[in-house]
Amino acid sequence: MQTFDPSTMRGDISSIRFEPGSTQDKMILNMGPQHPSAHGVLRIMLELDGEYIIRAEPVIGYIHRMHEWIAEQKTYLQFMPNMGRVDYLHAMAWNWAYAGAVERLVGIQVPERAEYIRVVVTELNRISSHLVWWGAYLLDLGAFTPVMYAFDDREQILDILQAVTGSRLTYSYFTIGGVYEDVPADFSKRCTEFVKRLRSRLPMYRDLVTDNMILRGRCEGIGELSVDVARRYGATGPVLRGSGVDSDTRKSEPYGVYNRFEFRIPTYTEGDAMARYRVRLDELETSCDIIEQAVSSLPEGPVSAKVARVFKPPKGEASMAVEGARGKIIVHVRSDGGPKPYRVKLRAPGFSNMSLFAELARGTMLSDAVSILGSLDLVIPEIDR
Amino acid sequence: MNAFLLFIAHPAARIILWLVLMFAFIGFNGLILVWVERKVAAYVQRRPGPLHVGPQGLLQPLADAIKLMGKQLVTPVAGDKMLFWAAPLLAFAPVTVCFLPMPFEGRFNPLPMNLGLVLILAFSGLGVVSLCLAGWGSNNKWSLLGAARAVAQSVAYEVPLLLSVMAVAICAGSLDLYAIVRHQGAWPWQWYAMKNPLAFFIFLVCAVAETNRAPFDLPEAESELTAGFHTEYSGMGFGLFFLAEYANMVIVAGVAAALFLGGFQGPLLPGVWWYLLKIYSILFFIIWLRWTFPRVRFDQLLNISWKWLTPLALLDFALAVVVAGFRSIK
Amino acid sequence: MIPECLAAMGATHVVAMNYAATGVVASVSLTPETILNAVEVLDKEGYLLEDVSASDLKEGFEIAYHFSLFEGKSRLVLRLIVSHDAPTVPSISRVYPGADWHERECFDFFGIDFTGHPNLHYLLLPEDFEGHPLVKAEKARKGLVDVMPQTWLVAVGLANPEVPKPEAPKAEKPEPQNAIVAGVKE
Repeated sequence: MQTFDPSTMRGDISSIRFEPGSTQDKMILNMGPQHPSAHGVLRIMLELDGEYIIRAEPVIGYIHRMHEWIAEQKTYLQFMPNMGRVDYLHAMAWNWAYAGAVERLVGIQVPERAEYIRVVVTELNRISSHLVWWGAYLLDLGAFTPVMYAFDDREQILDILQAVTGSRLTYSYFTIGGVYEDVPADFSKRCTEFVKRLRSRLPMYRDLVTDNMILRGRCEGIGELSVDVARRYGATGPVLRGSGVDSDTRKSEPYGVYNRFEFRIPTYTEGDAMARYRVRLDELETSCDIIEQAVSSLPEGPVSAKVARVFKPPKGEASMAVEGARGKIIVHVRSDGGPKPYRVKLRAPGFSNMSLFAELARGTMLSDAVSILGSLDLVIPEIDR
Repeated sequence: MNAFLLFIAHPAARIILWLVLMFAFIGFNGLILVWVERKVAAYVQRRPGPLHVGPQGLLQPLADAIKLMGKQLVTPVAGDKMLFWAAPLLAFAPVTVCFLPMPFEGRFNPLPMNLGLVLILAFSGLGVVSLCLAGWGSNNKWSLLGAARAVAQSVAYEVPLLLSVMAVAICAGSLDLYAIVRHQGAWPWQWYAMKNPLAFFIFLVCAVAETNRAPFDLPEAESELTAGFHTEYSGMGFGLFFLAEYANMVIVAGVAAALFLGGFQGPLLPGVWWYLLKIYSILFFIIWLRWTFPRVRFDQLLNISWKWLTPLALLDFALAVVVAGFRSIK
Repeated sequence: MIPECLAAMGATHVVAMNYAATGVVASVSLTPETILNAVEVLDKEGYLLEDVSASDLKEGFEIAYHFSLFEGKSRLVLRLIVSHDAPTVPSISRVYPGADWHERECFDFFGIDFTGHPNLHYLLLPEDFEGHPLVKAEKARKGLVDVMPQTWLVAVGLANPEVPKPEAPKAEKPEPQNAIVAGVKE
């Protein structure tokens, strides 16, 4: 049996850099890589004075898989499944960002039916991602029940998307030039039924959870983020929209056929965790609107352009920005004329959102730090790539 | 089964028999409550809960108990071994004393006393010492945070608890639980819950807080502190904390039923069944609360106690004194 | 479509790009000396920092900063090249704190040294990792002429408009007056 002598144990280099001197009245605490409310393998080093956080520093890299290097070893199409694994909760958006960047580079025109299908599956994926966020956030705050209800709704989405793509979570449904396969015949009907069901459940979630006094005490006034700080950290998505900025990539740089649909961008001005919470819950309704409009006007036609499996795009570079559930996802692709990319850069929205945490958590209590972390909606594999 | 215990003349033998019965009751209760909690949680969350072990999962708690007993007892290397293992035993000790004055019915009374309420209140405050020992002896900063929170929470919620209990005792004119029960009647409009609803409400909130149950379960907050003060315990150590928590819940439910819901008074059935029914109703309510609400933040928890519950309890106590005074003048 | 603020940056080249083909509106070529001033100009205009990334080319490490506004198609890319032997660039984390982590990532993957960075040590790779993974082998590196679109090359003077692709020897010897590759020992 292995024995440890605490007096001879040194910390790893991150903790050595974090605690430079004596900490007489302060406690150094590690919300370690294994922690019930770290959303993935995240480690946060905290210096606490009682319950108050003096300094917080996140340490990431526990699930770093070097996707950007893998991209240089594979052909363009071979790299597509990796995109589903970067952020498994909104895999369709990452698929779209990568496929869109390569399509821009090559100059491929995606058929209309594929564009509509892309919109519908991405919005369905966004709803399922927000439901997971909602359940997990409330679990962090101590309410054990909403996650069960959220997963019940999510199960329906997973069934629909399984019939379309064959997988439940890490989709690689997109291909360069369209989508991989056509949707089954009952797709529109199932989508409409699901939207109707979700809309009937949202009032219950609002009454039972959102208007709950205890929840509001945990979220209101917590982690207030001003627009200037958000801008300089590069925060995007619901984090930015919760601070009052009406910015959504689907409206500011419309891609696909988003400019054909009518939808509202929810924005709240308080900038606290409650505002971000409300933004995401309202986005559920926005996604429902988009899905209804898209499936009702699904055109006929091919679902992908004719593209060879191994192709050599002209030299150059292209970027594609899409609105993920967590913020703006950008993929930069640089080609040297060969079959494999020269450089692929994946810009994860969680990366910029997470770097906010150190500043937001300073001076708050430990429970508030947990609440802020949850309100930022972080998926660590996306941050680490 | 008349004069169940009083036929044993020797008081010590009576108490020992009572203790044996109480341990059996606590153990059995623990099993039942584990099952009830899991089933209630399951139905609130729209899933079936334990189904396979025994009919409707009734033997699931037994399986859990066997599993817990079979686990390896791990002591943290740098922890204080004596304190670490004293803590679960100490968590259990006050429970035994607190059960003595519980008014199951006249013939079950092992030791007639006229200060039963004081005994219960005094010893239930001891439970927090075991949390302290657990937090400190684990040599774990998370446990320490949990223990610190537990102490502050316990101390804060003692005050409104005592005040609300005192309000009822003044109205009844006695600190003996049996006397308080006899002052009420068999029907709901005769209970103190109807006559002093504010005290009932305050008592319930404080009871939930004193037993570290959600929404006040910060000392063992799973998602923040990885299980708080009982992080490092495995197997039977954890089992003892678990059992002690349920026993505490039964005690506070018992006191609530005795003080506010008329205790063993009720029509038709023998009193002890009514008492158990009332205890289990309150327990069901407490369990239901846990699965519905999120957790209150620590400073909000203390705010609720010091800024809201204590002034209200003081007001209630003052009113009770006035009312009792008028009644005695008449 | 090029924003007017770009003129105040002291840039070497400002090239308008085709948004539909590349996703950016303009590309600005800078040097390590002018990058801080340029970033401050953008901060005053209210640009959001999207990312800081690097790429390994023959001429050196090309660091690209992507900025955009909240509204509209407005993505800019600021690029500069530092040599392989002395990859030093001032850190912009004083102006844009979000660049802190992005620069640490570039340090991790390429070994680029950002002067003035508050906490330059590994972010993603483990502490005992040897080397910098995205630095390419010598023979696998390509030059700017191999990876940039033709319109950009023409605009910065690395290619002639008539000749579709310059000869390989010509690409290896960059023009001395081309300030982009200043810092490369030639």
